[in-house]
Amino acid sequence: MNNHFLTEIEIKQFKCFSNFKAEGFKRVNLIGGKNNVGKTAFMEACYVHTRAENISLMTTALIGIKIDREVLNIFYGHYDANNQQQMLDATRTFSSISNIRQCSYSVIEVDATKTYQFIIDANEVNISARDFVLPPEHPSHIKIIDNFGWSDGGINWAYEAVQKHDKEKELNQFVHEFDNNIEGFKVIGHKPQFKVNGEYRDITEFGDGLKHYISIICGLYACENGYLFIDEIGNGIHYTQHDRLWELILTLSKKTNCQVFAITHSKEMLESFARVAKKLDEQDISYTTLVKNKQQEIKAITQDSEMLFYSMSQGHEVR
Amino acid sequence: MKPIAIVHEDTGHKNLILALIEHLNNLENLNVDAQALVDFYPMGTKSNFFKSDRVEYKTLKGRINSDQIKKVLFILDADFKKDNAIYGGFSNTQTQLQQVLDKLAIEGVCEIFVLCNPNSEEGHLESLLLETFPEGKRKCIECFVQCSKIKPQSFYKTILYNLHKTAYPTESYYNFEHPHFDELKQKLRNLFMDCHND
Repeated sequence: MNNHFLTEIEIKQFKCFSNFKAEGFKRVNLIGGKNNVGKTAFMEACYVHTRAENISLMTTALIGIKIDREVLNIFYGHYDANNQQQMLDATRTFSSISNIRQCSYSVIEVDATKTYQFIIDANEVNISARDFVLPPEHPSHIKIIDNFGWSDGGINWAYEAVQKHDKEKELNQFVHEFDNNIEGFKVIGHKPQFKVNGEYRDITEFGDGLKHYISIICGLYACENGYLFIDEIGNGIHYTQHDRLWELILTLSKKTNCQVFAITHSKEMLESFARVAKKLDEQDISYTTLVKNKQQEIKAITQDSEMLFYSMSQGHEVR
Repeated sequence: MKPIAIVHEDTGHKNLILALIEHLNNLENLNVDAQALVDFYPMGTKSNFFKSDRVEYKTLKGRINSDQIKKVLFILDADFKKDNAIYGGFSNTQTQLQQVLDKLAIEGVCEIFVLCNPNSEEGHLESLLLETFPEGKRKCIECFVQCSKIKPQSFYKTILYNLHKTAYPTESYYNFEHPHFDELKQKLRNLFMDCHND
């Protein structure tokens, strides 16, 4: 049932990674490490890798991670989001191997002729840049939630999954627990809205933490039998909500068979993760710290539940 | 992550190390902030040191292999050969632990200090401490043990500290000036040598 879970990955070539290996991943995985060590790049690599079921999905993933990073530049006109080939060209090479597949992508330029080379498992395809037709974005069970949660479109799409699961009531309960002034949530006319004092109000009137929170919960339903990647999971979320958030992630991911990778800098978020996992006797978790060794190579230290609970009980510094 | 790990049996060992670090800080300006530099790994009992699948070792190995832990000191009791022919005594303890470290492939960053009576190469922390007491004090304690007919081994292990505290309330439990502590002092100096300014 969970054969699709990523348990190990080698990132041969991508951004700051070369010959990087990490293993020991479980259903819910928290990633930590100092600034600029490559946490988000690692998550992007896992995202592209899991999406690489075919060239179309891999391409849209490569474009998607660039768009996510360039949102502000796109907004100010420094980047043209419609020029998707420019977005794709921003990643020159990607190569990875895992327990689920091996894949690579590279831009090859010879004699002023540009070719995109894709290798997924044993299949190699070379496409001339002139003939390359960019595929449309496909709805997928593999998603990234950035620092502040999804846009309206992302939440609307994921909310459909909540509706298909008939879980609107539960979702209302979850948002009420987050803020007891909120009576409910609905998508009305393509706009996500929260009900306060009997009146529905646009999501933009509320804080980023709430948007992040509802994106994560809806995402867990939407990514059934898939993967959910969450950047800076604690962003905007008060520490008193951390335990409840992890309870929801640990229980919903099990129900929907969704593998979760989340990034945090926060000690409180890490402590909450360990505390809740222990309380729920959840062993299908891991905590990975990305570090740099003496040669400045990026290395992963992955702790399973036993190691994490031990380290936390001894008060060891693990971030 | 902290660059130094000290793997020990119990609180008695940890207290000894912390007291000796403080002593070296005061007398030699070692200038070590143990809280900032050291993570302690209590193993509970000596037998756990020889189980290579222990969670403590799994945790240490990941941190050593990625250069996050630079040095490790193991501190454990020698105990007695008559109680355990394989693991008892200074030499057996040292050899058996070294084999575990070799198997884990972490021996390059590890140092071992086995606590015992340096003359008999058997015993435990309290055996070492007793040997470092001034002669008069040691004789008094030994006479007391003899008169009370308590088994000396169990006596020292469990209540030497309380007896010392009661009988010599103003005197330090640790006589760090004694030469029997020289080797441990040197191991601590080596441990912190390259980790001060990280």
